[in-house]
Amino acid sequence: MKTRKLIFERIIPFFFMALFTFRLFCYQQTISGYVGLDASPLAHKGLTLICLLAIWFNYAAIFILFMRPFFHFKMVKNLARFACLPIHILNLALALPISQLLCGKTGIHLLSIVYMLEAIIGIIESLYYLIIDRRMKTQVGDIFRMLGIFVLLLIACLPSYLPQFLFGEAKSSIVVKDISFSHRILIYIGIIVPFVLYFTLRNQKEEVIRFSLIFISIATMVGFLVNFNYTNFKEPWTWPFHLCNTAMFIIPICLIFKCKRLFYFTYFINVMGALIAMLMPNYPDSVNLLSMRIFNFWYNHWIAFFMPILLVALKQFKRPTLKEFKWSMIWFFGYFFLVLVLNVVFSAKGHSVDYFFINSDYVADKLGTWAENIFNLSTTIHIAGLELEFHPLYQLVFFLVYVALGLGVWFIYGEFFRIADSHYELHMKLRAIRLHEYAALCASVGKENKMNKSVEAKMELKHFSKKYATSKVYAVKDANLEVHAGEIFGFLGPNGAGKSTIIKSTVGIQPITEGAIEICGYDVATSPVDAKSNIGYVPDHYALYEKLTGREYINYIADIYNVSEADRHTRIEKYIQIFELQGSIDSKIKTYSHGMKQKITIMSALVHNPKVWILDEPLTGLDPTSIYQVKECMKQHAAEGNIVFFSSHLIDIVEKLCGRIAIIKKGQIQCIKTLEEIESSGTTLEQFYLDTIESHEE
Amino acid sequence: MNHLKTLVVMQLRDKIDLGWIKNKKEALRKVILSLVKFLVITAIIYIILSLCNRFGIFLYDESPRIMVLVLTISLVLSFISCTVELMKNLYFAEDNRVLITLPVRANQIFISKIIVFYVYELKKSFSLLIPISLSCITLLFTQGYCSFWVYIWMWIPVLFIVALPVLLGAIFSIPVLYIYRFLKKNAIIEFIVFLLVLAGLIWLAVYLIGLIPENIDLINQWPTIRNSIREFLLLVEQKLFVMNQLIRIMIGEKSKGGAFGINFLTMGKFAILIGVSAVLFLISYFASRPLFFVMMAKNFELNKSNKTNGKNKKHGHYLTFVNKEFKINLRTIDISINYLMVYIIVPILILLLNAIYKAMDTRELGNWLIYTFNVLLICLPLLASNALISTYYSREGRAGYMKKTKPIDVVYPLLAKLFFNILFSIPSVFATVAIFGRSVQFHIGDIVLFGFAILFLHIGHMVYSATLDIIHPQNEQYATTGISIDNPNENKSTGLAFIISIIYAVVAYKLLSEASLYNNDLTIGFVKLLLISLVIFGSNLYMFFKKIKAYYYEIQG
Repeated sequence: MKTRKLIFERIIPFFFMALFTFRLFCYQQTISGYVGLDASPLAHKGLTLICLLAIWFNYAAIFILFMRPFFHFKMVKNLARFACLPIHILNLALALPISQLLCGKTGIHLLSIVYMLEAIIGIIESLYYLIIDRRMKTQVGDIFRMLGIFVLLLIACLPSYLPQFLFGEAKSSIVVKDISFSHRILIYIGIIVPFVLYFTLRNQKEEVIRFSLIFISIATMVGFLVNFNYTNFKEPWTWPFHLCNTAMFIIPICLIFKCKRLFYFTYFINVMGALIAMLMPNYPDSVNLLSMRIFNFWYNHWIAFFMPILLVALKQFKRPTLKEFKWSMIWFFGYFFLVLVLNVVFSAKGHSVDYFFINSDYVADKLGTWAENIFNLSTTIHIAGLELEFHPLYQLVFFLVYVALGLGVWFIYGEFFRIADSHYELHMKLRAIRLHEYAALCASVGKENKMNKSVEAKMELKHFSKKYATSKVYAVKDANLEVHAGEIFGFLGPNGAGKSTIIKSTVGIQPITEGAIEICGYDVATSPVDAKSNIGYVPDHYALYEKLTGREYINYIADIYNVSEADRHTRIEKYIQIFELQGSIDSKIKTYSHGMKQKITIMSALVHNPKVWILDEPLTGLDPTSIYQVKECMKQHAAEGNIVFFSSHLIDIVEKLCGRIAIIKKGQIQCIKTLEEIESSGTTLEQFYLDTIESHEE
Repeated sequence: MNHLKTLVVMQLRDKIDLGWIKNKKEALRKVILSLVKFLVITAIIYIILSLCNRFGIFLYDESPRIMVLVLTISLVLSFISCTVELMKNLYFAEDNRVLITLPVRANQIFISKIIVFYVYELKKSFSLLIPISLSCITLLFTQGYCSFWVYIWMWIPVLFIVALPVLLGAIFSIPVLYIYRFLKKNAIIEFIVFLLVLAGLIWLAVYLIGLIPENIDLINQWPTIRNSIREFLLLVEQKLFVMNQLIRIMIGEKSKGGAFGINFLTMGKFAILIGVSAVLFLISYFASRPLFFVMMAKNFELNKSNKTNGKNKKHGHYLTFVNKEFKINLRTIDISINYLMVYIIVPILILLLNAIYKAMDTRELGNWLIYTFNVLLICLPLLASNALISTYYSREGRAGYMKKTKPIDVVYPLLAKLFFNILFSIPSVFATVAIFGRSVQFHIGDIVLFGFAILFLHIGHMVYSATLDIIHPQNEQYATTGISIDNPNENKSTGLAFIISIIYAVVAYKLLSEASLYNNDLTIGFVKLLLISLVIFGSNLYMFFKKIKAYYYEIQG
């Protein structure tokens, strides 16, 4: 078992990789010279088209097989099993015409042999994965999803010569510079794609995120490398040392090998460089939109621009601190020094080299005369017969500007990640809410149906628990309570016991952590509108719109509860009389005293004649007459077959008013008793309350 | 005396942030910063005045005329603000109820209120009046037109000059109070007066804009313009005799040599100033003080009415939120007026801008820049006015939390709060773009497209500002104090308004300047602007719904 795994998942893939790398550099490319299918050396356009597609698909299939041994999620297994085999068979069948397209040679030669060998290994590997994953269940939907993903992966693998070969040249009038329309479209792609990737990947498993990012970085790196062949090894001045070129290698290396220090070089420097290059591309005005030059340039700069940010956003690398910034600058200095030396040495040897544009006036020319003047301050050093020309001030300023830009983008990144974090946090909250609502819905299914909604007043707490987001302990734990029609129920307990928590959860102010609360058969969590329609709530502190008059406010509340004009008129006028507000009901609430405001709150809670009237410390601040009136209202409301549920510290009032009481302490209901039960035990409610609280303290 | 000092300091702390006084390091930093700010303002004004002098707008020895003009404007504005503010602060202030309970003489409370206002005005004078005076004096001094002593002397009369609008304001606050009470009792008359004043101001603004000549050529017409300015300044000096004398008290009289200096005549005038100040103080003390005591005792009375003729009226389930907002908006007219004024000012501003541009001879680039500046000047005030939206929900205080207990989706009451801003912004935006569009001769279709683009951008930012307030509420602060000092939501909303306006103007420049690619047809540019606005609007509305769902689920009340 182990040997088989070693052979097929380690030795052969590494050999496969080595062979592929060899194949990439072993020939001089002619395919990049064809513009339009008519230019194809093959006899038929159809054959050329199939060959080009086979080349394109081949890249994707090879990368999938390279990565398959290291990733084990379902999609990658399906890709390796089903997508790769037909592609490699197709490439084996078309190896000769493909080789002819790639290097212009017909018949059997080195490239065609290597290409066939590569396809054979691909077939072997695909068969291997098909066999070892044969027991995996695959639905038709999985196959379609796999095909969709494969198409997306193909985007990263697009060989840069393919568009010009397939479609020829685009209209010569299309200019891809100077922020023209076409230029802007390409810039937009560079901005939109990372967002799409971020939103697609952020909820995926870590393995999926890593696979996707490594695939993109390797595919685009190889797409970039097809421009090079074995002749470049002898000509170091043709090596890709431009700033954004380095990103194509640094990103996959850092991602695969987790090179943290090197990564922040690309994070702080490459991104800025790529952005500037995207805004001011260095290709000529006449370059064609579908040309290989354009695709090379944009694939390179898109990757250099968004991949480093994306890697941090997707938490592959941590948000940088000063330490990371320091390391990025050390690497940048090393890079700057290297390209400076390479530029002057190769230039002295007669080669046209201008890595990072620091040895020519390319950038200075765009900035104006002042920059040109700085550039023109040059000095020459003679070493080993070479005339090395430097532009010290210009190059120093160039370096410092990049350091400053790196520092500047740090703050921009900070803001960007702050927004991304808050958005992600919101996303997770909404997901949790959906799950919570779904769980509550599932729990309620089977226990009740629409028919169970009682016409009669009823209030029920079923194993209700509440934990605040910032707290580790439960504010209320496993509370069970049932209040029936016609009852005045008193809720007693010391400060902080959990009375207000239960009331606020019942009226819908606070979400429920566990269990359920039902009002007249409606679950407060799953049917909040129906449940709240049956509740009238008087909070512990009045909260009113003080610019409205008392009458306007009560009518506003009546509108929310859809109370008919006749009903509201009867009720409002009745309560105006009861609470003696005739002289002030049409004055603005801000002119009212505390007691008057409390009366308005009580009236607004009763205007829709709720089946369950909940009052949280309702008598605070009321004068004796008003207290009497409120008590009478409570009695009358209960007598009409409704529930009055109220919390209070005024034990004597509770004693005179309530039929039943509950005592809560430290989030747990200690007892539920009728007043008769308490009285029959030969004690007063006050004594019983104190005994209950103290006994539990002991 | 100690009581008076305590009262003054206590009230000053409420009006000005004095938290830095106790911390020596902070105090030093504050003093240095204020000094630097003062010096920078003075230096900038000095440079501007020097340039005006170079362009021949006035000669060096004529700079006191500038001082007369600035002093007049400054004192008139101070007088208006002091009259209104003192009326509120003396007779309707909430703190009267607290102050009256303190063991101090009621006279001291009255005087302390006047002193607080005086200190506040003195502080304000360091922003404009004193820097301009110092710059003019420096201009005179550097050319040998005044002695060095003027630098030292000027501070003494300034102390009395600044007191004038405060004392006059205290006296004039009495008739203003009676007018205010009358208007408050007669809502219809108040509304008519408001409309008349507004219409008058709009007419005046449009009339003044109409006076802008059809052809402005600053270079060729400069000698004429310069002479007109000089004539105007001379007229100011001649007609505003009292102001001219106040300036003379500050810088002294002109000697035979042409230099200004302090002499006996200056002293005499200064003595008159002191006398006038004393008389004004006595009048305000004896006239305003009794009314102050009366009002202190019954500052509730104005709001209370004993109407009992109200009717219980049913509104639609959703319309009731709009009805409630309408009433609250009408009853907080001091807040509503802020956004109403923006919606009135923006079209006038654009009318002014385009009247000036129209009179100029511009080329193609100039035209693009005109479009850009128009876009910028439309967006900036419109979006900045949304800062008020970022306080709307918090202003509800604790009542805001109660939405959650009602059997309705919270989205409705939340969106209803924006209804009137959206409603009033529609005619304002379309009037503005119509003025802009007609003056630069856009097609009617382009004007409509541009109108919708600005409208959606405005509403998008409005929704963003609303979201800020919902997610980071300041309800508790509003519930306890009625105001929120340095509200972070307002700052964020304003900051983003500034950034969006600039970016939008730059994008508009780019998109509209590409018209040459499409046979000078601007429609494509406007369509793209509309699409951008729709994206901003759509994304903000989407986030609004998402955020309130999460927030209202989580809040614990």
